[in-house]
Formats: sequence, C-alpha cells, structure tokens
Amino acid sequence: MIKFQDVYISYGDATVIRGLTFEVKRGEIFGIIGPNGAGKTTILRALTGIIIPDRGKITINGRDVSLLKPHERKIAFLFETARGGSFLRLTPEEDLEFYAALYNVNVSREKIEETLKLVGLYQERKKRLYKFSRGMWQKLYLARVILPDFPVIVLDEPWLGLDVISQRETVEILKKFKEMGKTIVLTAHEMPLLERSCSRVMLIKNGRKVMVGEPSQLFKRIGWKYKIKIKGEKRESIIYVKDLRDAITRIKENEIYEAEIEPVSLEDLYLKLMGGKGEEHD
Amino acid sequence: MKIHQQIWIITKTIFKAWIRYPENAVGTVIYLGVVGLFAYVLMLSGLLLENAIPYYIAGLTIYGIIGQTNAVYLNFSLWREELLARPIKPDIFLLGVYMGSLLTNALPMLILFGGMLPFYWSTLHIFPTLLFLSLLLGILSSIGISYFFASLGLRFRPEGFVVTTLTFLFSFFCGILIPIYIIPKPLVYISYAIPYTWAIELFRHSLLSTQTLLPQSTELVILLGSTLLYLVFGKLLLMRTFKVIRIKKVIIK
Repeated sequence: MIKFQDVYISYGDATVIRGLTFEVKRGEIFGIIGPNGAGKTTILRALTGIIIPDRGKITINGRDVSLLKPHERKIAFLFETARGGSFLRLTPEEDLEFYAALYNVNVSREKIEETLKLVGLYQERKKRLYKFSRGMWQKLYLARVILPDFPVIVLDEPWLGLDVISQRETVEILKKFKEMGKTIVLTAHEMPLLERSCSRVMLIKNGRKVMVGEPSQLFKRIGWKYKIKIKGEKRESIIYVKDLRDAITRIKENEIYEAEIEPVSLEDLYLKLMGGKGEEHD
Repeated sequence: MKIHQQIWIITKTIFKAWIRYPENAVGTVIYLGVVGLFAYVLMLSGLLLENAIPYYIAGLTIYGIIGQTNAVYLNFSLWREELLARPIKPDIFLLGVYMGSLLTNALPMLILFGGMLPFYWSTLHIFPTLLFLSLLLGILSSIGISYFFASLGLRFRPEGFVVTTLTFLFSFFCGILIPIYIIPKPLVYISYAIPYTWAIELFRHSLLSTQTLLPQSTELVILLGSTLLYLVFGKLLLMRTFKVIRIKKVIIK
C-alpha cells in the first residue's frame, strides 16, 4: 500500500534519509524505531507530503505522494510538535468540529459522538480541554486522527509522556483502529508497546534501514533467543545466545555468582543493533 | 465540506477560544488604558488638534476591525503542520481566522463606539460612501498584510519576536496611538508605507471630518494601490513559502 523506494532526504547539507526502501501493507500497524535524529519524523513528514524527497519515490496505492493533491492523500496524522496547538477553552466536541474543518471532511454531530465513544471520551464531551489529564489528551489526539475516516494514520511518538494506564489504553485504541481496517505508521521508543501493537517494525539508524520484519521474525533472523544477565565476581554483563544449551555453556564458561535467563525482547534487539554500524539485515 | 462551512467553523472556533478567556477582557481594558493615556498626554500638551474622545474611539474601532494580522500569524504558526499537509486551503484558513479575530477584536471597540455615539452625535459628519470604501479597502489591505504574516507564521514560532515587533510598529505608526501629523518627517514615511494609516485617516474623516494629510481622493488611490500590492505580493509570498518548505524542508521543530 505504502512504498518508499530509494528515498533520500536532506536538510540543507545534512542528509537525514539515505536510500530508504520499505513497504507498509494495507491494514497493518508498522512501527519505525531508531535513535533520536535517525530520521523517523522525517519519514513521516515525507509520507504526509509536508516535505518532498530529494531523490526516490514515495507511493500510496501506486500513486506518487508528491504528485497527489492534498485532498487525495487521505492521511490523518499526529505529529509530536503539533500537540501544543489547541484551544484550551473548547470542549472535545468543538475541537473535533474544528479538526473536521482542517481535514476538509463533513462530519455529523453523531459521527463526533461516535468518535468520542470509540476513544473513551464520550463522558468528557462537554468538559473544557484545559481540565483534561495527559491521558484524556492522548485520547483526543487519537479521536482527531480517526475522525476523518482516512485509510492511513500516521502517528509520531504516540506513547510519549504517558503513564502505564494511558499507554495500555492507547495500544487498545490502536488495535481498534486496525480492526477498522486502518493502516497505521508510527514512530516510538517504547519497545514493549511496539512489540505488543505492531504487525511489523523497522529499525533505522543514520537514515538507513537496519532491519524490518515482524518482531518475532526479527529475533529469529538475528539468531538470538535468550538474554543472560550475568553477575560475576567483579562485574555484571549481558550476553545473547541462540538456545538454552548455548546459554548453559556460556554460564559454565564464566565465573558466575548469579545468572538470569530471559527471552530476548525488541528492546534488547534494538540496543544490540544500535550499538553497531547501520548495516542492512533485510 | 463547503468553503463557507469551513470558514464558519474556524471563525466560531477562534471566537469561542477568545471569548472564554476572561483574561482577554483584562487585556483589552489595559490596552484601552494605554491608548487613553496617549490621548490624554497629547491633549494636555496641545499637540492634538481634534476632539480626543471621538478621534481615538474612531481610530480604535477601525483598528479593531482591520488589525487581525497577529491572530493570523499565531494560528498559522500553531497549526503549521496541519496546514502544510491537510486538505484545507490556506486562504480558507486565513479567512476563517481573520473573521474570528475580527469578531473578537472588533466587538469591544464597537461597544465603545456605540457608547460614544449618543454623547458625540452632534460632532459627527458622516460621508457614507467614503466610510464604506475606507472599511472595505482597510479590510482587504489587512487581508493582504495577513498573507505576509501567515508566511511568517509558517516559518517562525508562535511567540516570535519578529511579529511582536512588527505589530507594535504597525500600531505605533498607523495613527491609532499618535496622530500622523505629529510624527516627525523621517519616521512618518514608515506610516505612509502601512495601508492601515490611510484606512484609519479616511475612516476618521468620513465620520468626524478630521483633517487628512492629503486630499481624500489621493489617499483613496494610495489605499487602493497598496491594498492591491499587499494582496498580490502577500499571496505570492505565501505560495512561495509553502513551496520552499516542501522542497527545502525548512521546518521548525
């Protein structure tokens, strides 16, 4: 559905995205992870048509995004930088009406109420926004992106600054969006949440793709299955191993007081890969 | 969504956002106090040749109607990414913001104007055609200037120093604080370059028969010319700003 083909993007002399190629399938939640400055937000900006790549092509359903008229793109988005811009004395109903005007879509009163119910804000529909908690704001942001009923939703750091409950609620709402057939592209740093909600994830570093695939596939591809936290006489260390036999061998090899064996998480994968060079493992 | 619906929703949103802040009423009172102080000082010094109260209230009224550039800047800056990516046309957003800001800024000034009328009715000499033209061209020139401010809004942060300075210069030199005929020679050219100056001059004259700097027909031609200039170049600049941001990727974080 969404294709990046050999995309290069520079800000002045600084090249942020270097020959990026990947595909997002219809109806999946696609996570982009990488260190700060890796080019995650730039990818989203290019996808939404805010900026145009210097080289390469971005297509949605085979049509070049840079050639599409804004009303033909049909991408709803939430950028991390756009979160401050709200009229705090409005109610969520009024805020969504304003967003409908920004998106240039006709929405009925019923549609707004339905959207507020979907994200769990219906009870707060008459409350002024300045009285909202961080979690309620998050639901409002998600209401804004689902309101126009566009097929593609782009989210920049959807879990940023949320408490555990709000993070879980966000995961559940994203799953509902997926069930509604939406294609979601998001960036995040919260690995456990990405692991739980994303169909596939892409790791990027210095504007290059490091790896892309389903979280479980990535572990297989990289070859590690377990992580061993070892407490030795002088220091603590972490080693990654392929299977339990390998784990036991490694434990025996070391002078160990204590060892903990855990399955490898996406976070481990990320830390391990980001420590190295931005090589491709696709 | 139809264009008029979009404009109406944005207009009422801006209006609601303003009217629900009691702090804004306090700000308006302080602003009126500052203008009143200027008027009082100039009256005492004998520099002001007109009847201070109707003169200043007429100036404030038209400035309340045409002075929406700051709101345009602020909202273009706040909703930058939405405007850059979403299918709303910038002209529609600009008009919606302009109308919403007009309602909020003009409302207290129109109340003030209405309150003044019974007391100064006998001093009014109304020229309806000139009144209409000064308002119409004043609004159009202000929309033209708003295009420049919208471009700035896309490039700078909402709390931008540049725009605060520009707004201050506008209000200082357009004749609502100090009558143009008091401003010394080199500085008065700044006033001449601001279309508001001519709109305010003509509006005051059409209500109070005040002296104008130049013959009214000449001032009308200058106002018309500068309105067209600001509208055309403002629109071109906004279009160019969109293009530059998309291609050169100049976006503030």
